[in-house]
Amino acid sequence: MKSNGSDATESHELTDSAFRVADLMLWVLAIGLAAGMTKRHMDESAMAFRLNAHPPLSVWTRLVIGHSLSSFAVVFGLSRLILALRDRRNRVTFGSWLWSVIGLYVPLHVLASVLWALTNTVLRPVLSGSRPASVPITETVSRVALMTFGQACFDELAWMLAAIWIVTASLKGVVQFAGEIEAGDSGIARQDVAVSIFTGLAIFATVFQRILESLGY
Amino acid sequence: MGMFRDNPVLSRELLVNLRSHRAFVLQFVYAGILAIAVLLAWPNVDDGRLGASVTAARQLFDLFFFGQFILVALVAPTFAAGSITGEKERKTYELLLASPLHPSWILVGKLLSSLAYLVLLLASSLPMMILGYLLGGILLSEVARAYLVLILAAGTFGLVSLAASSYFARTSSALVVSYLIILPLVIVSLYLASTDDITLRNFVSVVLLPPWAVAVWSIVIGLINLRLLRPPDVGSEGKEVVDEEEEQKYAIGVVIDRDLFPDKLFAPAKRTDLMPDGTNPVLEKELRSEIFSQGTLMLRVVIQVSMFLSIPLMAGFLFWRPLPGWYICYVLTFNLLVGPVFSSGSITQERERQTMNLLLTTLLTPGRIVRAKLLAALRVSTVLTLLLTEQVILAYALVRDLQLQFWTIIPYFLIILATCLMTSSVGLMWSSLVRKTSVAMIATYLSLMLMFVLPVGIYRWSLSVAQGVQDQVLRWILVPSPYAAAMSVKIVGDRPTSLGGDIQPIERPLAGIDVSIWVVSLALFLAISLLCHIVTLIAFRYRWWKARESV
Repeated sequence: MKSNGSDATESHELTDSAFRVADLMLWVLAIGLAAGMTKRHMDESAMAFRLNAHPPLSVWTRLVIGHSLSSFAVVFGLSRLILALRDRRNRVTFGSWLWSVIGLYVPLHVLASVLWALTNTVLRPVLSGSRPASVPITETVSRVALMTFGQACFDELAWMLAAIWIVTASLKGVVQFAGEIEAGDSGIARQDVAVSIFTGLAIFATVFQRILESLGY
Repeated sequence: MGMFRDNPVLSRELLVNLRSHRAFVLQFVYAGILAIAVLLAWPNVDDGRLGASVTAARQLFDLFFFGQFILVALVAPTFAAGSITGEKERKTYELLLASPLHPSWILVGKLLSSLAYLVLLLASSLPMMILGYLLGGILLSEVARAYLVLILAAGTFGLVSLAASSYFARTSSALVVSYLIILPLVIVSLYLASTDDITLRNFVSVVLLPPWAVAVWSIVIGLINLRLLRPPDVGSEGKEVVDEEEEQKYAIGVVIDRDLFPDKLFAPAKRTDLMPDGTNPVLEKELRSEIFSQGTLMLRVVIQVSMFLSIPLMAGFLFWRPLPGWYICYVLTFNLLVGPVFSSGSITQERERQTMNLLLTTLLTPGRIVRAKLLAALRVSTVLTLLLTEQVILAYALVRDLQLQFWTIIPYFLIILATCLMTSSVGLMWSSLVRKTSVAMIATYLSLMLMFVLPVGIYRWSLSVAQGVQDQVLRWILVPSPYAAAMSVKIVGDRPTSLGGDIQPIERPLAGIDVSIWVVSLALFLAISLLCHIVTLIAFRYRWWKARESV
């Protein structure tokens, strides 16, 4: 007696108040990753010094918020990217696309930071040894470019753009935003809500942390 | 007052429960054990000044309080979780609801009858507790506060179990969900009770606990009343199998999608095509249709509660301090609670549904049937337990202290897997030995509790009583307990000083064979599992022979 052994039932659309076991595991993974990264960072000598020497609240909030947001972005973003790539024949929703961007952005940002630190270490003796008046124009340009590159806003924007470009290119031909959101398709609506909440949380957390810092806590 | 005096449900339950010989014997044994404990712990004071034994009195008081608190947490659900599901299983639930009794009368009757015996047991311990007062160092108000906490705990745990009983169709489901909801409450309560800050203890027990308990009681009573007033599971004669698609439509929280990972590992989708050659039909039936035929509500609650509870425990025991043994104890407790649910009913349910003889007349050999039952239960309980180990792997990847001793993850996983096998095997053994699922489940829980907790209690007790015996000899007592096995894996790192520095006594080798406790425990767990399997097989074969004779 032969059989293909396939399971007949198909996965179902979920209601707004429901989620799957895999989602729950991803949440736990993200929380665990955030806790683990925070603990690891705390134990490093530089951070331990900062936690002792600086107003602790702002350092703590930066530490916890930074690692929480990064962990959630990486876990959910990459899982969504994997799903989007795996189901290439299906539609790629806006939510999947944006989550993939976020997921890719964080590792790229970390990579950029490491590269920047290495470059800085190599170039610092050259730059600090030269006198401003006699600096050649090429060196000044490269110096300004490096300094600008090091600015947080430009840095983050640049890598966000890079992430968007890579994701869009890798999903080329599949991304069709026009007309993809059908009436009553709760799955897409849920993804968009999740992305909006995450983005709002990131902005709010950053503003909150900056306020704490400026108040001297 | 009529609700209490003229309540027919209460009268019937009290008559049935309290007039049995079993109730008397159990109370006698309980009071006897407490008396022996007091006798052994009684200080040897030559000059007759009992007031000199303040420490002994305090130890005795703590032992009584913690022991009885754990007893309440363990026993209250076994009495209450079956009180409404029992009616459903005996098919008398609809008759009860059709009677002119108001739901609140039924609720009060069921609750009081479930807890009456427990309160009786607690009251029997009062004279022994007062003996501790005679030694000095304990105030009467402390004794009163302890009993207030115990009564509040009994009421809360009983009501939670009663609510679970009203929501589920099977006692096993109600029991495991009750235990899982009670587990975090017990952990928090024991943590608060064990603190040395007397002001905090008093504040919590007198100011914080009573209003919270009353609030929880009100909510739970409201929920049960609502459930009894508008029961959705009435009129389900012949339609006991729940439609999963229908269930999923109205699901809140986690849902089971049998086609997706990891859901398909523990609840594979129902088969709509033919089975391949060589497939064990019992295994297919058990996994795909039997275990979750009553819906996935129990499973969903279990997954959610265990995962949410794992988050603070992960933060505390894996990341904040590298104490993975404590987290593994939580994973083992989860398996202790969940494992028996899937195995202890697998043979008794065949008997209750009167399909046992039908099964025995098939061409399948008894060995194949038993193996299939064991594998199905083992697979579900193991996968559910392993869902909680994602955190352990993450901790070993991120925490530096654990990275440096990464090999210790292997004994932890071996202990978890061996415990999964043992809990399922013990459950299946009891299922083959007794006739009712509820009896099999309670017997399984009792035997596993004895195995998990009793060795730890005896060891701690013997440390203070058995003077002159070497600790490495006494550690042999711990071998049967999976908790002790998990704690005996040597982890060196950033230990809190309260735990005694780097290496714990439990992590040192046993006398005579110079190996750690967990190595011997693993061998013992496998041996127990094998023994249980052999007993199950013999019991099942015996029934097979009997059935063949009757044919």
